[in-house]
Amino acid sequence: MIRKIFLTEWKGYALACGAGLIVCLLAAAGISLAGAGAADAVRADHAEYAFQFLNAVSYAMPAVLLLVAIFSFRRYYRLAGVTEEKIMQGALFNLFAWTTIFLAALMLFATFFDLIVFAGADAVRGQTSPQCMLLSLREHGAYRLLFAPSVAVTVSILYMIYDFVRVAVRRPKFLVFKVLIAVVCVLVLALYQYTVYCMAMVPGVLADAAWLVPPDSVLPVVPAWAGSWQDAVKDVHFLASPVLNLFFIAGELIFIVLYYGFVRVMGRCKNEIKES
Amino acid sequence: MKEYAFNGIKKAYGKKEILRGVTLCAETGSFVGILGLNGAGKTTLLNILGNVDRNFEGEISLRGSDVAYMRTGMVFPEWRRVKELLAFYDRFYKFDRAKAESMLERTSIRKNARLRALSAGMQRQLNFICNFCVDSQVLLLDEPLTNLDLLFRGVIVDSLIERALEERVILVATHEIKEFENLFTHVTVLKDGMLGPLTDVELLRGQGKSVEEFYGESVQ
Repeated sequence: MIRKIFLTEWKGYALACGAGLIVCLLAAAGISLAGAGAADAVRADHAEYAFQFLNAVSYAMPAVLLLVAIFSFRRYYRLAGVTEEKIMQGALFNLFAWTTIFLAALMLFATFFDLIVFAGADAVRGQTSPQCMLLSLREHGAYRLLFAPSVAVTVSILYMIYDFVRVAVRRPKFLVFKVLIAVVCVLVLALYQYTVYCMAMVPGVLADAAWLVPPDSVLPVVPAWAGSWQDAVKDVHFLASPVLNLFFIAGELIFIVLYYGFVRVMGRCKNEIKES
Repeated sequence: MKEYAFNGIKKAYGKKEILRGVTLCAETGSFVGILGLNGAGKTTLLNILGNVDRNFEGEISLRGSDVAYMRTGMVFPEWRRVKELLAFYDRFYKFDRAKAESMLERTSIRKNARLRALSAGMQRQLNFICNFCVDSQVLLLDEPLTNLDLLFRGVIVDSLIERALEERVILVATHEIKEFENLFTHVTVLKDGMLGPLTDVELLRGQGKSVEEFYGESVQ
């Protein structure tokens, strides 16, 4: 069923991702050309702007894809006898897959841009801040590709939180209770995420345990805020998840169990059809 | 499936009760006309049977992909193309795509056209073709002739005659009684939130009554 839903919805996601990459191409080319022929320092500035634009897109597009997943019209699945649970699983898979695909493509583009814009100009590259080349595989190695599914995990978790709140809000009759429940859910889930992130990062910070936090990985916002950013080897991205960290994985598994348990107990809707 | 049944269907919008325990049991091969005045709750009932509306009380013997439902409006997003709609039906239903495509060729609908580019009548044609070509045990039709030209009205009636003997139940909510008069095996009238008894059209004819006369008497 997930495959069928993927085949039905792929076009919208593919168009959004294609448009995002075209915008990146035009912006990077435009910014680079504006600095062509200038002094090395100016060219380095322009290259930084272009890389920062790509970094901004790495925030914007996952957000756009999340909105696409949330606001896609899916009532026709219901007519075809697909249960809400399967529809949600399909949406979640689409979101994960397309976020990963887009970010991997963006990273390949950033790497390609890194090669082209600094071709024969190592001095210019030397003046460019490595922090802004977050997405370049040339700068960080192929291992950095892990960043793509890492962001997709965060976006998927955000979608699950949305679904969690949606299921909770559906039941009460009065709007005030709906809003109250939504606020409580968001606060509890935010606190949970904060705790998981902190627990995931602390052992890495204290013991520099490479097996907990992969060296040269991208840190999420909370540990960055907690001071981990002082480790100059690591970059910061608000949407990254420490996906190789055992604490994080355990925490997220608990979250998923709680989420599924909650949805099972509450029920997604009245009179759901039985799966054949 | 020997019969298609629903029992005690209740539905209210706020304090206003639209359906107050609607019950029906139709044997396979039945072509049932659900008649009623505007606002009687025919579309509400079909929306419940077709799984569009799940906020109701009562029991239904068959739901999901075994029930094809032609609604008054398109349920697919209008920016999609006709061929995508066909692919969707092919993916999620037991769908006779070859038949659907041959029926489409008899219309002026292009497979590459977007749904929003189709007129209301063409959307109705497409909607009928898609749902008619689903190999479902139940076919629900809500005002199937609305907005259609004379030619396609004929196509619909002929198609339904062609498949009248198949092992399925067809439920039609309509005001166009004359055009379905010869197709109905049973009729029932939805009034005051309740369905009247399922009346055999052969018996009516035996009494020298047309379906229209029966309906007129029932709603008075």
